[in-house]
Amino acid sequence: MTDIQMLSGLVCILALLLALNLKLTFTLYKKVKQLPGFVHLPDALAEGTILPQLSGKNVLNAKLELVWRQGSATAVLMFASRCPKCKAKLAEIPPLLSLIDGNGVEIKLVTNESVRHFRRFLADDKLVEHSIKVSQPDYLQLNPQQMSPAYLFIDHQGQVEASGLIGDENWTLFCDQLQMFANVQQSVA
Amino acid sequence: MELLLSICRYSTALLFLLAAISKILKFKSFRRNLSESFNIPNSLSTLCALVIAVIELSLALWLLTLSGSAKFAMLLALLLMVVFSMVLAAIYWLKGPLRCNCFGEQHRTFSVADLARNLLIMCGISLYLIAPEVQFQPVMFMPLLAVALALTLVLIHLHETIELLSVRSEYD
Repeated sequence: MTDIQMLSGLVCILALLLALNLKLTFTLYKKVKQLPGFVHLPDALAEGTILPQLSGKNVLNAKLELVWRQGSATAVLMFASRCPKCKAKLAEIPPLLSLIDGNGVEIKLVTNESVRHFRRFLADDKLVEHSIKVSQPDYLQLNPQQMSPAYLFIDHQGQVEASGLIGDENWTLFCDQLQMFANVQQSVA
Repeated sequence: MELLLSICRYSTALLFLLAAISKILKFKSFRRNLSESFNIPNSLSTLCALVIAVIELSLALWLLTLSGSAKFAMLLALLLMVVFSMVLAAIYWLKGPLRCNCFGEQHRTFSVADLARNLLIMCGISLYLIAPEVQFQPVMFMPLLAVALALTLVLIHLHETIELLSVRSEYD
């Protein structure tokens, strides 16, 4: 066996060992990532948290707009175009928008996605009109766990009243209240 | 230079080989992803997935077993990479973030690291194509293949490599 053959054999063995090491490392990393607790989720917004005044660009006209305003309660809704459940839940929102007129409640859809993608995802002018694109840090303040479809109820002083997933108990209660209020208004009129 | 060019050729071959194997092993998931992310109708997705896997496998075996010049095979590999990247870019532009399933990664979307990987592969192939033809001793075949395998694994897992490096820096 010549020196060259020995040397190439050695390089071959070393490179194969390196490849094996890399393969095992990536497999181990994949397994570790699947362990519960690997990804540390930040805590959800606690009830009573006072939110700072946040603003973003309206998805329809790109004008600067406040996420919540002093004096009116706001329901902030978070949808993501990538989440399969969101499309189905999105259909529930336009009827709610028609119920909020004149009762001091605002509904805002807040996103951190690109305006173009989000507009295409919403596919409804009324929803687009009520949507705000905020920066990623601002979005994380509103939705630290990046859940969707999620809601955040903010009172007239910027205090968090409740947060959760659209469709849960609090959400259903909110929808019922809006409906009840609209019924009362109709009967008075 | 001849070592580098040979590593480019074998890395490209191994990349296509491993991509084809992962697609065949996770065929159902790859087929479903073609329907979900690339809007290919269910009736066509099986055929499409099969065609992609077979093309990748054939090209890989051709590059590995071909004696002499591999310029034509490398040119086909470059064309394939350009087509794949353009399709990914078009879908990203039209629909937003998407899953690629290029090497069997089912649970994450196509990332900047994946884009960098594709660009690196295309650069390697282009380098091979523009360089003059090289000949190397048969004794070097196995070591070059082994080095190319190590490099290929890093390229395939470039996203995870970057993640691992950034995870480590958090605890430093």
